[in-house]
Amino acid sequence: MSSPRIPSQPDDMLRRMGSQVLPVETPERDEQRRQQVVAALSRSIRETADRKRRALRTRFIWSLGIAASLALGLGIAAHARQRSADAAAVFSTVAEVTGAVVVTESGESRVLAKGSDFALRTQGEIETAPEAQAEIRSRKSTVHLAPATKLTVPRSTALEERYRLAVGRVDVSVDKSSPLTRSVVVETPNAEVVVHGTVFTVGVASRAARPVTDVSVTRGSVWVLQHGVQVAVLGAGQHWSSDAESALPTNAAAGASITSETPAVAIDDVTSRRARSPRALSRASAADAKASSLAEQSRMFQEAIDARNRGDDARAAELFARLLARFPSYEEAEVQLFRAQKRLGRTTQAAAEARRYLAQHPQGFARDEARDLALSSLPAQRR
Amino acid sequence: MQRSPTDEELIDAVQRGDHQVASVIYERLIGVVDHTLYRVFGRREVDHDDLVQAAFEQIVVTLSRRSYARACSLRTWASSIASHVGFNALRSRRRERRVLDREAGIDAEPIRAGVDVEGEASARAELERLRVQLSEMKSTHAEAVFLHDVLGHELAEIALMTQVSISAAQSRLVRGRRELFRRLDHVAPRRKSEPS
Repeated sequence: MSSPRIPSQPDDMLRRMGSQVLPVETPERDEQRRQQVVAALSRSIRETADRKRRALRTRFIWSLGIAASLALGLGIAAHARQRSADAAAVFSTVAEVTGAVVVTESGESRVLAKGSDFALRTQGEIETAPEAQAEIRSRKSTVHLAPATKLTVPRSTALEERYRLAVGRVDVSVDKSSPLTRSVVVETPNAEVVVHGTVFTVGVASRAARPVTDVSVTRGSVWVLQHGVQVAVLGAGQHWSSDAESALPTNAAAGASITSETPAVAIDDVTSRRARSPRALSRASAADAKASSLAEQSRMFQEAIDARNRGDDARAAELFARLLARFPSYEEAEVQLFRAQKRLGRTTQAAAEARRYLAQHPQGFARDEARDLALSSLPAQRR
Repeated sequence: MQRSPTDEELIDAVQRGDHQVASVIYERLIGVVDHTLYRVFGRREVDHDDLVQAAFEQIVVTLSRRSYARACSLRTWASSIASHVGFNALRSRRRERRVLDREAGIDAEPIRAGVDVEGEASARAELERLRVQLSEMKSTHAEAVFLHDVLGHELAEIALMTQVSISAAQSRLVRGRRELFRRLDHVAPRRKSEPS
């Protein structure tokens, strides 16, 4: 009879578990297991490596894609920045070239081929041959250079776009709808023409060995100042010359229209340099009297425009009416008057003013607007 | 005579995807894998070969993913993987409540003639109970006890194998032993007449 066995301590049990003798397997069974496991192991190594390669390839493709996207984005940004910088650097373009046109920029001269464009980045000097023409375009204006013209184009600033006309003629067209508020200035040896939205011509010629500036307005109006004082207001079709003989504004084209509400300014200092002979003094006196009248006309017009700009249409209408009572046939004032009355809701009066305008300026620049207004209110009333 | 590749060369070959080294790896590690699985189950189960294969596949995966930090020998690493695979299988079977119903493995060691048959049967039953308790313990604790007390690995090796600090490995071992001893004290030896 055997004694009851005392349960072993856990330490003993763990030791016995570790010292168990492994039974030997038959060689056949050993070989069978070897073949099975080695085949599976080989497959596993291959598949794991394949998975790893695929994952690496996917990661590489993704990285490549991200890098390419980044590079593309950076490239586009850099390109856009460069283009923006280039565009910002270019302030004017010489275009519509016909004949021999020489552009000098940064001390380097080049002859522009017909039909070619040239971007001005710094101050440029453009000279047209006797048979040549060119055009300078900026975001604010277009300047057409007539043959035998020499024009210097300094770099534009936020406040002004300046052209220095040494000799020849330029036709300037200022884009009234441009968002840029800078002034366009044409400077001649003895005058300066400042515009904000008009079409005009400035010419410099030599008469009696003295440069003479001629200003012709195609559209809009021009103020002429002498020693800082307004001496003339030129409307569409009117002409002004620094020569005292033609200093008075003349109607060059009957019925020429005025589109600009912002007048231009011309400053003349030629007359001050003149010889003060008795005849000349007499002429100067007559000119001064007329200049004084024109200055008054300009002052009244400006006062009315200021009222309109303040939104005080009633005051503007009153001032335009007062201006027209003193200076009849002032086309722009007539247009402003019927517009102000229309805004005030005085349709009958506005229509009457429009009809009056049409009678005096059948080809006036605001004829369509006036016609619509005249037909919109019946019966008609005359002022 | 051709020199057998070192552990480092074998690992590099696996990471390159060189499947030619499969037989070399098998020869080098089959002993430790077989031995570990036998210790976990106390016999060669009917699916012993499948477990061996699963352990080898797991070894290849860890080598490829560079989970093996090369801080210990490849054999030590293989024993850790094999014990993990073995205990997972044992727990799975316990969950299915089949482990006690399972018939003795095909290689169950016969009781030798001339020895105390009853004592031998009782000792086997105790070891079976030990395995059951280990399989029901928290896996990290059970593996720490198994690796240290059954397979005889040092704490530092266990720390490297299980990728924890030595103090964490020690903590697992102490807690594991305490839990195992508590379980063995509280669980009475099952009698053969009792249903499993």
